[in-house]
Amino acid sequence: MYFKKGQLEIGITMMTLLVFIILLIVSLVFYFRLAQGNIKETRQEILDEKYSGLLDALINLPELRYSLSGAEKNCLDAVKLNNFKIITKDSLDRSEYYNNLLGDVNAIWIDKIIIENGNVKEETSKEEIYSIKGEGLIYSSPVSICNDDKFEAGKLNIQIK
Amino acid sequence: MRKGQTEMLGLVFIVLILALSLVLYIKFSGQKESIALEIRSNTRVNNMLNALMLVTVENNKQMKDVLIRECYTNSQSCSGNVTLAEKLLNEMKEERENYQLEFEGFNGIPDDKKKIGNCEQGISATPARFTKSGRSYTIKLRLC
Repeated sequence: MYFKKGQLEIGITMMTLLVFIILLIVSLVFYFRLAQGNIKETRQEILDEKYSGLLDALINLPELRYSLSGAEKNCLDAVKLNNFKIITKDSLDRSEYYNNLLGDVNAIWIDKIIIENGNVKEETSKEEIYSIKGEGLIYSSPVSICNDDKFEAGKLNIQIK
Repeated sequence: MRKGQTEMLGLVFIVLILALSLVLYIKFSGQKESIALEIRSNTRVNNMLNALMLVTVENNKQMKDVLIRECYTNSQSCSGNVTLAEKLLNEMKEERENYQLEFEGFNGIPDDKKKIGNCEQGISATPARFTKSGRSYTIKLRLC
């Protein structure tokens, strides 16, 4: 079987086009996979940023921070922590204010590290500060808690819907 | 060289350029550093060092006071408190995190305990500096 020159050239063009299309499809698939991964990563970064910012805002909230005669100390007030749940719900205005501030936070609690006879106890003491039922991601930050003259170390945790 | 061979060479050249640009893209796309992540880690490591220094360990005495008092010279209780600091950090850190705690000016701490943990390149907290009886003490914490 003989091919004419024109048929041969068409064959070559078709082959080149086929290879080019295959390469294009492979690169497009690869690119979209990478782009999808990047979008997921960016989403996670934005969420991390948002909730870590919220955690910092909570640590610096006057309603939780320890102060003596107007001078703030670098720790959270144990008494204020105990009463936070009450003040967030004692009136409709306040409830709305804290709902806006906390957004999709399900729960806030502190895991206090217990030191006994110069040693750290394995189990921590969990103290609930604010809660709505639900499950979700947890973000935490180390904090210092002032209780009269005693300072305790712990982790402030927030759970997101 | 025949015409077919020249065209094949051209195609190989294009494929090589495509592959090279893909490799370069992958290499540089993974190198962007997040400033927000750095700021966040910085706040975290500062909170951690602050909580460690302030924690009451015995009879209303804070960790920083106890370390300065006990680790002025070598003593059994000094080593005990360094170990306690280590355990507290282990409780406060996240599982994926590593830390490095360094003591400067504490003559009582044995050399092998002056640097706890391994984290050479990470985010450092502002060092905690104390002065007592004309001597200065520094505690540094880094988180990886």
